[in-house]
Amino acid sequence: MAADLGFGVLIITFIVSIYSIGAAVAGTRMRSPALIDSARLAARVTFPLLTFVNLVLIYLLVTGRFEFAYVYQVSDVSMPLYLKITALWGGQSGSLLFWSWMLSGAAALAVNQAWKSETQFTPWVTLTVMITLAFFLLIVTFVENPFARIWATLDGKVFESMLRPAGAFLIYPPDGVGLNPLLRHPGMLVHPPMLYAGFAGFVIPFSFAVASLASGRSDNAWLRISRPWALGAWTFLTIGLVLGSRWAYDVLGWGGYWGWDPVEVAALIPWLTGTAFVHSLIVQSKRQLFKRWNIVLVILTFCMVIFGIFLTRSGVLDSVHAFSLSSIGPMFFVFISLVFIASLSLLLWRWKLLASEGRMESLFSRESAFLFNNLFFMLLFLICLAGVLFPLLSELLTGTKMTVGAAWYKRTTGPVFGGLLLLMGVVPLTAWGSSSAGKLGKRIWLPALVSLLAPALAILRSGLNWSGITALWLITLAALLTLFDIANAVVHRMKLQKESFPAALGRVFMKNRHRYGGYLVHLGVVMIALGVVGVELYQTQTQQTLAKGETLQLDGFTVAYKDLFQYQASDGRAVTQAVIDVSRNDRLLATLSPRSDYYSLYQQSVTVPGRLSNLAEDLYVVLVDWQPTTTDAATFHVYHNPLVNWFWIGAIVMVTGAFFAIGFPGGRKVKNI
Amino acid sequence: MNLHMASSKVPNLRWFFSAFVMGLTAILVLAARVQAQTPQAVTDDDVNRIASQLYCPVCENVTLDVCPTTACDRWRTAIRAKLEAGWSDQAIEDYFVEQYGARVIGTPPRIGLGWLLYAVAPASAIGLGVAAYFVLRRKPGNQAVTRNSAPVPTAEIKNWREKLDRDIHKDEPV
Repeated sequence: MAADLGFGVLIITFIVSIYSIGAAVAGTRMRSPALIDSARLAARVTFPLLTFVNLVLIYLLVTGRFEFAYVYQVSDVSMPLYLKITALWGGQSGSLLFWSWMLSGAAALAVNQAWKSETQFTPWVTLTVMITLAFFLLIVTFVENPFARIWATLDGKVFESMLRPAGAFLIYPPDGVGLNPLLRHPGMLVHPPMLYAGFAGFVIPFSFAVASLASGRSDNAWLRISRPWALGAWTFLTIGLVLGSRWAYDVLGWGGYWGWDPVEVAALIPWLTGTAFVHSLIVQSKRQLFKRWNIVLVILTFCMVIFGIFLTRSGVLDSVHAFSLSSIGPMFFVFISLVFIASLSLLLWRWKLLASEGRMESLFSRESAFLFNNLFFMLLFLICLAGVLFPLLSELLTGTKMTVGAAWYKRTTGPVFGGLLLLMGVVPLTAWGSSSAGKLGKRIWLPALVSLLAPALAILRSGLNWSGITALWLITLAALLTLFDIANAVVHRMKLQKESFPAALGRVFMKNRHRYGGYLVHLGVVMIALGVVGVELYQTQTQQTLAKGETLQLDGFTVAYKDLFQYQASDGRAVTQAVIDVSRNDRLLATLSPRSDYYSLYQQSVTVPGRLSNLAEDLYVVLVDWQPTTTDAATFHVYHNPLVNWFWIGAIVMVTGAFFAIGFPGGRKVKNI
Repeated sequence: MNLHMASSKVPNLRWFFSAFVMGLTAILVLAARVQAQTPQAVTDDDVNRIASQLYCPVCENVTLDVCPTTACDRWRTAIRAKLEAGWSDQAIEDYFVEQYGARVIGTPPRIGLGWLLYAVAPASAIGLGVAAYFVLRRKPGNQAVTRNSAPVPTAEIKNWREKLDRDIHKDEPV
């Protein structure tokens, strides 16, 4: 009954979204405010309707209604309540429904915002977000229906269908298969919702850009409304990516957080174009430049969001992150193509209208620096896109799917990331309008000089590792340039206002949240870069088989194998857990318990590493293998990851800075731009 | 006389010294060869050094060193056996490519379609650089910037300073 109600409301929501599209088009053509308002209200109604549908699916998951195929595939009776709820986005159809719900929430807010601030945009914003929503609802309702039941016939055939096939009877399995073991991680509570919130958020700037183009406006109104959406979406996408990295570090047991897996790259691509956009929109708002370019970036970001979902959900890519295979690929392909062609046509139609009003006056001006920033992001975008598409292209043209692995990405993107780090430090020191190398040099020379201490220290400590030395110098330079600029502002204020240092620091930040929120983000990036350099350029590792009581050495650490025991967990996992002592200079630092959880139903093991963590390093111990009968000997893979924890700290600083820049919490309203 | 005697003995010493050096070199070369031929114990790290460069042919995008499947365990054993047999890293990699195709290596070879992948970054960089050049070149600003050599009145400087202070404390994005 509940499922029928859920499915019924899902169909109604689809019909409402189609109505909203029709009413928006008709309202625009007939110049009828009543119809446009009706379209807007219909768009808003989709949110409560989809909230209800999602709640119904959660109810089915929590109550263990295994006659529904989705519930059967992603849950079982032994799963704790929070996992049963998060199973909503643990499979194909549920995650598409969940994404639709998030999109409808964003749509409801956006159409209302358009109605209140830029009425002229309302029909176009409504049309764009509702077309996107209707596309996903079409898939969820008719192709990937989460309310499909499991049916069987007397001759043994099993079907998944919403309605009863002729001669079939309903199956009531006593238990489900359960959530994929790799997804049973606390990070999974937050990772997909954050990623989807980011994806959904980027749909809104796109819809306002389309509205601006369609209405023939050349001003910055669409940008003013889009800015908080873009920043918010970027922040959520960042949180999603970082949580995904943390999940990989905790669960996959490869000693790293980013493997340049296609699905990871697919989620990174919209982040890259989105990051370029959140920088580039500043130039338009300040100097009336990059008007066309901003539209291009927003179109690209939107298409890459859909493309990312397509890659993850269509099954065209094999990945440790792809948990679903499906036949929805062609539908996505057609949708992305149509959206891309339509939005580009719209841009070309308004091309002349969007000519820049300002001019680039100097190579060393801030607008030029932003231009280079965007070029670097575009370069990264093109590299990542090529890396993701190449396996598909090679399979199409040669019949063999080639692998584009981490080695290629690292070699290709490394110098570009280095360039971005340098720019990140320099850009805030540049001035709008005309500027010169001399002026810029005067502000840079001191931090540049001090930054040379970092490579000197790195050489003293770790020898000549040229990549590491260069990276550490760039990181230090970027950090010092940012800190010097903050210090300048604080000292200036202390002198001018006769304030104490803490008061001046607080006021400098609070009075200019955009700028100093951005600085916090940059400092977060610097810390992340430090973690990346630690793992990528200074990681050491060893794998050895030890008998009980034996030890291995790595970078001054002594790892001693003490014991190993096996037990059956209450949720059915077969757990094998080792006990190891970690010491340095004969001083015991910690006792770690790396383990391996085996899920017999999935025939899959999940590695849970033992970790000794501090700000300087991580000792990451993986239990690779053991003697099943005697447990006398076990194989351990030990990674020494210097500085890795700065990655997570940096991510927290970055997100805090982003929220601070947006104006949350307690910020005053963002000014018009 | 002494000098003459000394010079007449020099060739003998040269011969002796040359023979000594050649003999020593021969011994060292032979010792090195013997050492190279002596089977070295292959460690897990040796296996992982090669396995981390190869991708599992079954579960894609996972390198052999961290893949937990039985198939990958067998491939790691195969790598160990070949290392023990004296194969070089490159020979083992080539063997896997021959057996399972170029998909097992994470960096596609620079042949045929593979070149496309390697051309992307430089071609994109050049393309974007050219685009940036045209965007920057479009400015007449460089010529327009002129320096005013006339002294600026003190009052004007004061006004600028005040404006600067106001601007610094104005809410402005980075």
